[in-house]
Amino acid sequence: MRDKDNITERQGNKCWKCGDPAVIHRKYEGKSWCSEHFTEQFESLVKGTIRENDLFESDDKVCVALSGGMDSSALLFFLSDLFKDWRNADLFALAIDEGIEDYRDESIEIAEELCRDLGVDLHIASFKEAFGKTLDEIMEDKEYGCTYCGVLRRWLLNRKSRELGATKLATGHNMDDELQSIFMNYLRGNMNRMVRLGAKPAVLDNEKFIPRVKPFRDTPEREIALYGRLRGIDLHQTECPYVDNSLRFDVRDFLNDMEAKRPSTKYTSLRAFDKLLPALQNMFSGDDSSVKECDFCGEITSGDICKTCQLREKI
Amino acid sequence: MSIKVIHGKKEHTVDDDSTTVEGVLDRIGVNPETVIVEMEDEIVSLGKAVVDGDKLNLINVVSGG
Ligand code: SF4
Ligand SMILES: [Zn+2]
Ligand SMILES: [Zn+2]
Repeated sequence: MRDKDNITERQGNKCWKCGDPAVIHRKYEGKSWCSEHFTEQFESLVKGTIRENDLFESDDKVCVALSGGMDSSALLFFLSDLFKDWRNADLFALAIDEGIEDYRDESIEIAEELCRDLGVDLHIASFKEAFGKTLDEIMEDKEYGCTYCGVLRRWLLNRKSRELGATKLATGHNMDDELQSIFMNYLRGNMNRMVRLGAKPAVLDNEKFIPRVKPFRDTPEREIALYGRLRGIDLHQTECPYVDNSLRFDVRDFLNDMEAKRPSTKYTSLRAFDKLLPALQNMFSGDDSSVKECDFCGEITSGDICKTCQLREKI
Repeated sequence: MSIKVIHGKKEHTVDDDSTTVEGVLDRIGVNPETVIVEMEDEIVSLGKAVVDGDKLNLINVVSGG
């Protein structure tokens, strides 16, 4: 028998609380969990992130950025349950249709079905409507789809959620996304960008900016997928044809290898960053004063013309 | 001992002395951080024992866009 097989002998395959068959063995804490106790504990951890970071007010109007992928679908599921007890709060979903054939149309169908099941209003905003072209059309004579897609999508999410009256924009960003961003910013020397990280990134002092919140930010991607699966959410497995995240993927694979070899690497790295974050925020706190409104579209920007309007010129 | 593994469009057969799901993943070079494993439509943990003839279905959890 090799080392990798020893887990059964050491820790068993039973929930440490009730003895039922386990659905997960978390090496970083040395415990196995059955579906019921994992789900219960997962939800209580996310509630902890929400409480500790004051992510929501009791009268918030929360817009969930829903892609139809597992993270945002599981987030909508979780929040729709949580908000049942919040009488003055409101929840709705916003999906961005970039116009990517055989990819986004499938995930939007999943989003529509989920919203129907949960009784949550879904709004869809498309690139075609906002910018006159789908991403497929934009990419006919261009490279690096993610550059266009990311900038245009952020712009549209902010504008549309504001038009719909949102006071918060909740995204499905998870622990893995957050760590990848931390390491990528570090590798690129973009220390000032790190102040935008955290469960409740620093709010820009402008009423046009809808504050972002990330309730799953302290939760590993794999556990969100497991939670979603146990809650009966469809997992959209198709990969975007334009995906070009070479550095992000290198960092992702590095972190997953480290976690497999040295369990708890992800937690330790995130907690270390959390200790650094206040110092980084202090160091770069002057940067917000440069927030202006774009000469063309009126959305917030650090220069005279926002990135979206600069890209619009080229599409 | 022979274990069949379905991983998206790929299919593997593991013929050796693996005794757990984690051991099988190691043999086929799949990082356990990147998948959820099902056996007979039930999600199982990495510590689940495997026996001859078992069939594992791997679901990718890492995002790609
Ligand atoms: S992978 Fe890139 S192009 Fe595709 S949806 Fe994501 S950001 Fe957009
Ligand atoms: Zn249990
Ligand atoms: Zn603009």
